[in-house]
Amino acid sequence: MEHYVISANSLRSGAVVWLRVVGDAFGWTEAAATASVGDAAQRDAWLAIAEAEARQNRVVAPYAVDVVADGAGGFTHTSTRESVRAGGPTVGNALAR
Amino acid sequence: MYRYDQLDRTFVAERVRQFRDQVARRLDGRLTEDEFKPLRLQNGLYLQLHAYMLRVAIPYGVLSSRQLRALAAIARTYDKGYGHYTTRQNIQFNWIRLDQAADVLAALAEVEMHAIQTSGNCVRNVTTDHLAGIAPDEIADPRPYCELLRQWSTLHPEFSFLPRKFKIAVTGAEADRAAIAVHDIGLRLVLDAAGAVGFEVLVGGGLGRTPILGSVIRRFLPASDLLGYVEAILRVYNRYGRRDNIYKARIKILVKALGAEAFGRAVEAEWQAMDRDGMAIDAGMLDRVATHFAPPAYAELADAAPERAQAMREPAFARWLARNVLPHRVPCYRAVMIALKGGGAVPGDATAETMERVADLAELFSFGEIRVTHTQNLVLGHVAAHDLAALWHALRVAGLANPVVGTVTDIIACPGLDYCALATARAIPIAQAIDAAFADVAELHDIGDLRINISGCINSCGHHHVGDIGILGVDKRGQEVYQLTLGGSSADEASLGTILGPSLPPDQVAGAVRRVVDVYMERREPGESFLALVRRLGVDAFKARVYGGLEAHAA
Amino acid sequence: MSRLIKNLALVADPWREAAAEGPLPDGDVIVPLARFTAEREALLAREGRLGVRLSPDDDPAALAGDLGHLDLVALAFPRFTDGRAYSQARLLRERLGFAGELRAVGDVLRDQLLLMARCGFDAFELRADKDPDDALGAFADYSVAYQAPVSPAPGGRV
Repeated sequence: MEHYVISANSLRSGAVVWLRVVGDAFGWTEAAATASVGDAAQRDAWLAIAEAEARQNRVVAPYAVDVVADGAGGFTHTSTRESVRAGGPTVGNALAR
Repeated sequence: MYRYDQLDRTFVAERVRQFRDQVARRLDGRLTEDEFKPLRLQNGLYLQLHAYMLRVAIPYGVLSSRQLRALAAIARTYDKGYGHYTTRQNIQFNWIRLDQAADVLAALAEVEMHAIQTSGNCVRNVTTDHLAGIAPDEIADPRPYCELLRQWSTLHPEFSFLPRKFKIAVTGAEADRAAIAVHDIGLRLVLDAAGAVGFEVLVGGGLGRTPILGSVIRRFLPASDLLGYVEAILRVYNRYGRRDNIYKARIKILVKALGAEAFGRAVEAEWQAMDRDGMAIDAGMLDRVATHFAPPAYAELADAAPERAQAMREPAFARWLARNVLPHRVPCYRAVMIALKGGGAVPGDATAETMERVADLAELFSFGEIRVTHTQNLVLGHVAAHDLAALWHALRVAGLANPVVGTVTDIIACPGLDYCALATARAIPIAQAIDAAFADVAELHDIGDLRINISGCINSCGHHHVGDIGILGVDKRGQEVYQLTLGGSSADEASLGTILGPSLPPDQVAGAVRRVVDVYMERREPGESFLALVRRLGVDAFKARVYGGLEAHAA
Repeated sequence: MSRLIKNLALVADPWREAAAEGPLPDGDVIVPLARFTAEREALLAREGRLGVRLSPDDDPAALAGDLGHLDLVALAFPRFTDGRAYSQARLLRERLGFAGELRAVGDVLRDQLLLMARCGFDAFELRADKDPDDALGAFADYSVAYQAPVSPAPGGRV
C-alpha cells in the first residue's frame, strides 16, 4: 500500500515542516519522525488542510511525499532528495553546528 | 575600490525599507506567495531545500576587509556560522529566516553591500576577471565599466521582468578568466587600430540544459557606447524573447532562433534609433568611477623576486608559490590565491572564523582588499613579494595554504542536493571523494592544471560543461548517478565537453576520474594540456579505460 | 470605488473598453489594436475620445501615424511578470512621442507601479482584488533612481 507524509516550509522561518494530525487537530512539526503517515485517502484530506494553511500564510508550497511506512507509525523516505531534506546537509559545516 | 555616494546610500536604504514592507505584507497575507516570490528573488532570497537562502552580491568580486568581517558577522548572527562563495562571485547564506531577511539587508547596507538582483528574471550581478587591475596581460581595467553596468542595471524599470535571468561578464585581459563565452552578454575590452578602448560584444552564451557559446555581434564597440548598446540588446530580448517556456526563455534561444547575424542587426537598428548621446558614457562619468579603482599605494621595492631564495630551502613554500601565487603587473607584487578547497573542504565554503582571518591578513598584506573568483576561491591581490613568506606562514596556521589552485582538487561544485531545491544529486560529496583520491600534493603538481567542475543538476551552476572533466549529477529512479564529460573549457577557444559514456554511481566517480587522469599522464606530450590531449585523442581513448571492466556496474 | 490611479490619486474612470467587435459604448472608448486598424476611419470620425489597447505582442510602431489622434494607449500586463509593456511604454513615449494617457491594465500590482511610472505610464488600473490606498504608497518607495527619467516627460506624470 502507498503511504504519504505532508511536508512544506514554514513561511516565517523557512524551516522544513511536516503535518501532524491527531484526531481533528493538526499542527506542523520540524521533526520528521513525528509526521503523520497516511494512506491515499488521508493524503488528499491532509493536503487540503495543508493548502488551507498555505492560504493562511503559515506554510509555503505543501506537497505529499511518498514514504515507506513501518507499520508502527514510523516511516522511511524513498528518495535521496527527501532524505536529505529531512536530515539536513550530509556534509560540511552544517554537520558541525 | 568603489565607495557609495549619496545616491547609492539612499537607494540601498530605500531598497531595504521597501523589502521590509514587502515581507510584512507577505506575512500578513496582503501579498500571496506567487506575488511575493519574484520580489524576494530580486532581493536574493530563495526558498531552498531546507530553509531560505540569501545570495549577497559581491560586485565584480571585490570586497574590503570591513565588508568581509560584516559577512562573517552575518554568518554568525543570522546563519549557522558559514557562507558559500558561488561561481558568480557572490556569497550565499543558507539558513536565513524570512522575518530576519530585511535585518540582514540592513546590515549589508551598513558596509555598502546588497543582495539586489542576485536572482530573478533581471540583470544579475556583473562578474569579471578576479585579477582585474592586477593581471600583467590586462588591456584596460574592466571594473569601472562593471560598476557603471551595476548602476545602470540596478532596478532598471524596463528590465526588471525579463523573460529570464540575464548574466553579463566582462574581461579586460588577453586571457579570459571571466568565462565571457558562457554569459548572456560577454564583453571583452579591446583596442582599435588607433588605440581607443572599446568592447568586443558576445551574446547568447550560457550553460544550463542547452549549453551554447556566445556569438560575436560586434567586433568593436566604442567604450562610451557601452550602456546604450547593452540597453538595445536588452530591449530586443525583452520584447522578443520567449515567455511561453522557461527552458527556452534565455537570450541564447532567441539568438539561436534568429541567427546571430539577424539578432545583431536587430540590436543595431534598435541602437541607431535610440538617444545614443543621452546614453553615452562621458569622460567625466568614467573618470569619477575609475577613481575608485585607482591602484593602491604600492611601495617602491628593490628585490624583484625575494621569495626565490626561500623557495630553494623550503619545498612546501615552493609548492605554494608554484600553484597559489601569480604575477602582478607591478614587478615586486604578487597575487595570492587562497583555495577554499582540499583537505575535505566543501568547495567555496568559508566559516566566519576563516572570513575574519582572511580579512585580517588582507589588511596586513594586501591593502585591505579581497577578491572572490568564479572558481570559488579568494585572492589577496596586492602582496609585496617580500611578504610572501610571512603570509604563507599565517595562511598555513589558518589552514588556508593548500597549494592546489588550478589542480584536480581545486574543484568547482554547486551546493547540489545537500542544499538546493532544484538539485537532482549531491555535488559536494563527489568533490570530497575526488579530493581524497588525490591527496598527494606532489602528484597534484605533477598532473598540473586540470579543471574539474561538478553540477548537481542540468541547470549547470557548477559549470560542468566547461570543465576539463565535467561531472553532472542526475536522478535515476530516486538514485544519484553521475555523467562525465571531457574537454570543456570556458577560457579562450571555449568549448563544451563531450559525454564520456554511461552514468556512474556515486562511489565510482572518483575512480573514473583517476583513470581519466591516468590516461592523461601516460599519453600527454611534454607541456600538453589536458584539453589539448582530449582534442588530439578524442574521448574514446579515455572511455575504454574508464569503462573497461566496469560495464557490469554502469547504470 | 475607482481602481484607477492617476496623478498619485484614485480618480473616476471615464473610459469604457470596447470588445473586438459589436456595438461601441458611448463616450470615451478604448478599442483593441486590431479593431482600430480595421475601423480606423469610423473610429476617428466618432464623437468622444479614442484610446487603443495594445497586447504585449503588438508593435507600438503600428500606431506611429495615429498617435496624434489618440488620447490614450493602454498596455497590457497579462501577468505582472510579463515585462514587455515596459519596453512598449518607453518606445511610445521616447521614440514615438506619445503625450497622451499611457495606461497599465491587466495584472497591475502595487510593487510594479513605480517601475511602470518610470517607463512613462501615468495611469494604472489596479487589479480588482488589491487595496488602492495601499497601492498609492508605492510611489514613495524610492526618492532616487540610477536611470534617467523617461524623456520627454509626459504631462501629468507621477
